[in-house]
Amino acid sequence: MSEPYAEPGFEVDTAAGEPLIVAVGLAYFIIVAVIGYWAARRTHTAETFFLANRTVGLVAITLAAMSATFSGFAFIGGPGLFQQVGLGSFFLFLSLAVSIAMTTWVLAKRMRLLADIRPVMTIPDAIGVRYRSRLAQGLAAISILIGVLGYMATNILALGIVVDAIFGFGFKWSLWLGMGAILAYATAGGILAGIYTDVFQGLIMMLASVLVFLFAIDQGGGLAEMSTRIMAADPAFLSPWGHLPPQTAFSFMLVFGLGLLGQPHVIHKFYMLKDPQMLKWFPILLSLAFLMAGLLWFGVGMAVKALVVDGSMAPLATPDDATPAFLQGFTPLPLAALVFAGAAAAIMSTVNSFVNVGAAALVRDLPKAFGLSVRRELFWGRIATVVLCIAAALIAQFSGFLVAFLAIFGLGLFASTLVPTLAVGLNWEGATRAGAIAALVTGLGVTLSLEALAFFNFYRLPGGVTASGAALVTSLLVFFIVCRLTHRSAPADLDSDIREIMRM
Amino acid sequence: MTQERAVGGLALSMALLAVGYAGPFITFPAPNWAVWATAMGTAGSFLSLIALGSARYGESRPVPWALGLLALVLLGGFAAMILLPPPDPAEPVLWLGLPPGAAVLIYVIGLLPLFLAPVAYALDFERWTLRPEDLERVKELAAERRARESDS
Repeated sequence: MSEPYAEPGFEVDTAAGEPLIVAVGLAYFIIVAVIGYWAARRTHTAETFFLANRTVGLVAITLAAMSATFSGFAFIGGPGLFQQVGLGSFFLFLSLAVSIAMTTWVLAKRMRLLADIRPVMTIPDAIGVRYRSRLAQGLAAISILIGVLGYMATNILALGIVVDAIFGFGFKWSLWLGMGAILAYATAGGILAGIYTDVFQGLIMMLASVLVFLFAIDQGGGLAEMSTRIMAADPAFLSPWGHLPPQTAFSFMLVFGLGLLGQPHVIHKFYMLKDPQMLKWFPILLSLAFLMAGLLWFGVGMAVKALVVDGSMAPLATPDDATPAFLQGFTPLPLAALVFAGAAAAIMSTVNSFVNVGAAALVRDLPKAFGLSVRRELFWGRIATVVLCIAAALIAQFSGFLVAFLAIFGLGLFASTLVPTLAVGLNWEGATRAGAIAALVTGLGVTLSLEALAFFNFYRLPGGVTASGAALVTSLLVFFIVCRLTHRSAPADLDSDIREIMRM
Repeated sequence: MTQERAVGGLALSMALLAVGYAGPFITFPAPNWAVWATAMGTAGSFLSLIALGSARYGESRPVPWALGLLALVLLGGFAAMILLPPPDPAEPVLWLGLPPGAAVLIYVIGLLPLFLAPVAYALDFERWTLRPEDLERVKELAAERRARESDS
């Protein structure tokens, strides 16, 4: 049976070791291993390791972007947050309704074309060539490395819990087993393995999510019935903000919506697309994929609340128990098995994408910032992958509070540093090197200090404004102000070929 | 220029958000004007970034229909969510299974743009976003760069 694990918010009591769940879990890991082996045999260069040789098709890139974006949060944390704060939690997810197309308009074409005319492999590479600045590239790499470590540690922690829920090995062994599986295919096959395991993992996530949604609506007695029951017990739960202040709900939407423009593990995939003309159908396919994978969040969130308020389900020990408790009590075992595989898939795909981006920052971007270049990028990329995986697993296992702290600011850090410099900078000729550096420093400083003050309970912004929202607004304002003050240098900060791409 | 106007819109949206975020420092809980400023700033930032990303240098066109519709959906949807009365359990009113404010959030803010914006992107793609001549020029730029590198 699973070993009790006391990490707050991560108590999962399931039918661990149940033969059917173990069989589905094993089948899942075997398929991932086969894809990893296939990719490893094709990975002989750094370009393949970091960019899959720019040969990825439309469907694969869509599923990879979806599964990298949705971590285990969509399956476990999202429905849990829904129990805590009500419908307001859905602002996180609904921001994607606008930001998928927005990200394609703002970044996809220009990043893909940039990869045709310059040897760019990473997001800091793009920032470096846009502003002709090693310092900007290095600062972007530092921001990415800090965020990557935080995200990886949190996701590896969650993976340990999910693997334990499937096999019942105990949390610590499960953590290292899960991490070992990612390490094996991420090191051997790089992003090529990542993309094609993402395709498989994305399909599992969508199938599991749609099936659980249908079960949830059925078990809850239909949407209208669930709404009526919830409103009778807790009227504010189904107001648009739920139990959140409106400022917090809008802040969620801003940071997650605009933040997609700064998610390095997602936007980095634009480089890999085989043919830029495929972008035409990318937003439609990605919207469909997100909608399918996100149904579980809403369905389980509504059904569990309705079942708890009418007494059909015991109150949850912690909000994050919502999905496991619903699966255990209200769905057939094969579906529960599929969802556990889906949760593992969601987590592994995210971790793999992050480790690849982090390894590139270590091997490529940081040395470049100091005017150095690494000769055997493929070899050192693999070493960096191992180092990052082990570091993240150690943080997840031993750091206690640090993992929770790191997890909080990852997204905010990416948003406040990369949205001004990359998303705006790649579309606006008035952006300057000084503005980019100021925005990077501001994003790093404001995010880290506000999040640290809030985490250690020294100070919180009043009225429910999130630290990441305030950091994003501040860094964008600083960016515009410094760019305006230094506008005379704008033409000199931009090479002519990059300018042509920006004008298309 | 379209880009400059879009950047101006984004800067204005950030300023609105800063004003909205400052509201709770003045009175707590956040005054109504701060909620409105945050809502409009949030919608404005999405719309400005779409305008910025979809613009082409030196070419002007009327406000695209999709951007207009998105503005209507986001600004109207946020306004409706702020103005609609909270759910009343004594006399529950449901729109498509949800209380009105929740229905606006899920069906209007959540579902409409999810398909409206991508369809607009696809319809405009060859005519505006990525033209055949763009791809030809990119090939030329890549060849020029290779030639420069082989010379050096």
